[in-house]
Amino acid sequence: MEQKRNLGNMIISSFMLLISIIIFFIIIPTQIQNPPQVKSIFLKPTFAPRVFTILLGVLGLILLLKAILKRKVGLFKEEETEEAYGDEKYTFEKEKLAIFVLFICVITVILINYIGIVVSSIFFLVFIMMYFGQKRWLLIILVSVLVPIILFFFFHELANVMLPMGRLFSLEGLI
Amino acid sequence: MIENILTGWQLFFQWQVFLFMIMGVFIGLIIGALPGFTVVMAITLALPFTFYLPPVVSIGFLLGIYKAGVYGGSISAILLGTPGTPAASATIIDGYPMSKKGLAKKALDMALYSSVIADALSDIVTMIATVQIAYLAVKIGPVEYFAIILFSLTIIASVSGKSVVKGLISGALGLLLATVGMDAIYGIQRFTFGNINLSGGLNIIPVLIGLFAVPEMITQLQERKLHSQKATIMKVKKMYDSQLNKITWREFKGTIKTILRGFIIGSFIGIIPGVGAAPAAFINYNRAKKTSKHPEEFGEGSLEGVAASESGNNGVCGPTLIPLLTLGIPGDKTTAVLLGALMIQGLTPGPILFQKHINIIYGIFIAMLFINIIVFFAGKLFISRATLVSRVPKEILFSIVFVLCMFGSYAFNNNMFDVWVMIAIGALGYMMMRFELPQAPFVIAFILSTMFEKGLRRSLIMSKGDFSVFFTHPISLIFIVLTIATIFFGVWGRKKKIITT
Repeated sequence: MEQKRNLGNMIISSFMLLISIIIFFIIIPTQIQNPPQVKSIFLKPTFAPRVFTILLGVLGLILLLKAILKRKVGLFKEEETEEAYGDEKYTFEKEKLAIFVLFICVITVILINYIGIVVSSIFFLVFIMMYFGQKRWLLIILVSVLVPIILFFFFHELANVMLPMGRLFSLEGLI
Repeated sequence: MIENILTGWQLFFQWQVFLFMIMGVFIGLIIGALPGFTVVMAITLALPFTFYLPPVVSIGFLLGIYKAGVYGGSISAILLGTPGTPAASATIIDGYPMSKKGLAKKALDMALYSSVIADALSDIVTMIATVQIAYLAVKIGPVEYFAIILFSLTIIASVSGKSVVKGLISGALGLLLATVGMDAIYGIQRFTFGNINLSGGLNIIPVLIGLFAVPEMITQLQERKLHSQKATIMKVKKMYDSQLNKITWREFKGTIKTILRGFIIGSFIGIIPGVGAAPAAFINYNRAKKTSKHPEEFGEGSLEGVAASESGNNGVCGPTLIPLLTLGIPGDKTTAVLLGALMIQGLTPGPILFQKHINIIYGIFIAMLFINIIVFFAGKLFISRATLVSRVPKEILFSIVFVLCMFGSYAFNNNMFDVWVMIAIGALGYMMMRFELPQAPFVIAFILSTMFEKGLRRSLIMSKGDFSVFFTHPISLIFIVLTIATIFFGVWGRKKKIITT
């Protein structure tokens, strides 16, 4: 477990170091223009982003060095136990599920443009409840229809928030 | 003052005031408890209903929503691991682990007691010393502001958990992401990539929801798929009914000092416009952890941790009205709406308000005190029902939470972009969770980053680039010394711990 954590530390610290380099040398110079009349470095708009990026990079480097040192000094048992490897398949399964759930969330948000937030939410609720093991059909239908409708009523009628109804249900979609 | 209190009492003691305060409290509790919904939204929606009400009724109604809403944020923080309000972010650190152990009722009770006590005490201070405290608020300028925020940032190490480096990385990410948008001093676009939606920066609500709700939803759904949840529900039911879920007098006595400290810190932070309840919650949490007899329990489900965060954030409620009433300075969006409500009633904040309408002001203060009593009873009623949430199957509960968050993120600015921000930050939040980067430092840094930068740059503009200004202003010097001392003793304490082990 400790070895896996160390590997995780090496990955995340390398990633932070890499993005801080990209942000500092590429993104900040292209994305932020300092007004020419500002002379003091502390008052320039780039000051805070640069400081925070350097901080991120330095901390990433510290974590990376700590992880490399730990690995080199050999603070782990050489033989890895079955428990440690037994976990490996499990975590990959977890990552697949995470990506899947995020994918469904993204699809739901994309669909809002076409079918509106209410219908999109209904599909999301039905799909997630069914996929993750809910077997009671009446409950699935009740929850997935009532929740979006109640929210629609609250936001649209009470709060006067114009919710996205999608091309299908808007005037543009009908023409 | 006694005469003012008596005249205020006459205005307060009417059935309409009680009716609207109770309504306000229930609305605030529900809105505060729902992730994605904001107290500002609730107060703004309620504002038109107050046009034709007398001043004490109107302001009492809105204050009921406000105070109950601030407490209500802790309900979803404890039960769902998602803060209902930014101020409840600190409550998650210990409240949610308690809930996972089946001690949700205990955590909710503690949150209620500490919120009500700290809020009531700060209301008394507001009533007694409004004008005097206003003079102190005036003395706090950009220099002092920067020093207070700098001190607040040292909390990051305290909420970092086992790895300070990882906590600081998380904090650095929060600081960096908060720079997205228009630069506050010169109006230069930063990290917007030509996207107009990013000009205003990343909004706090979609960021908070994304950071907490989305990873939690993913984690809970993973658990649902890979483990049986029957065992979990049975365990929760057993714990809920057990004696362990009740706060003993001894446990409560152990948190009194923390609650009193929370009221003091919250009151001080509350009088400074623009800082808000979240920093107060985290500062008190930090202090509680440092002075606790069991600091190792913090982050794992400490009752003292819950008391610290809730007393800190609710201690802000009363004093936040002081700059509003005395100087007409609203500290945040909520008080800005309250300013609007006062003006609709013909009450213009400032010295004249205290000369011509002192009876109405004291009527409002008395209403504030009574609201705490209503929040207590309403909260108890809520808690007895709210813990049923832990019995709802995860695939139902967390999918509903996501839909709530989607609606809430959109409604914040009527913008689909905020929903995308929620999902993107959600993916980031999940990655942080998997690599054990703590979320709390990210939140503190994100909230404080803009204030930190603004305070620094405004101070340097005022002093024409002279850094000694931070050492020549007494309040600023005190906070800088406190910051250095906190860092020094923090590092020394850790080194000592390593040497002894």
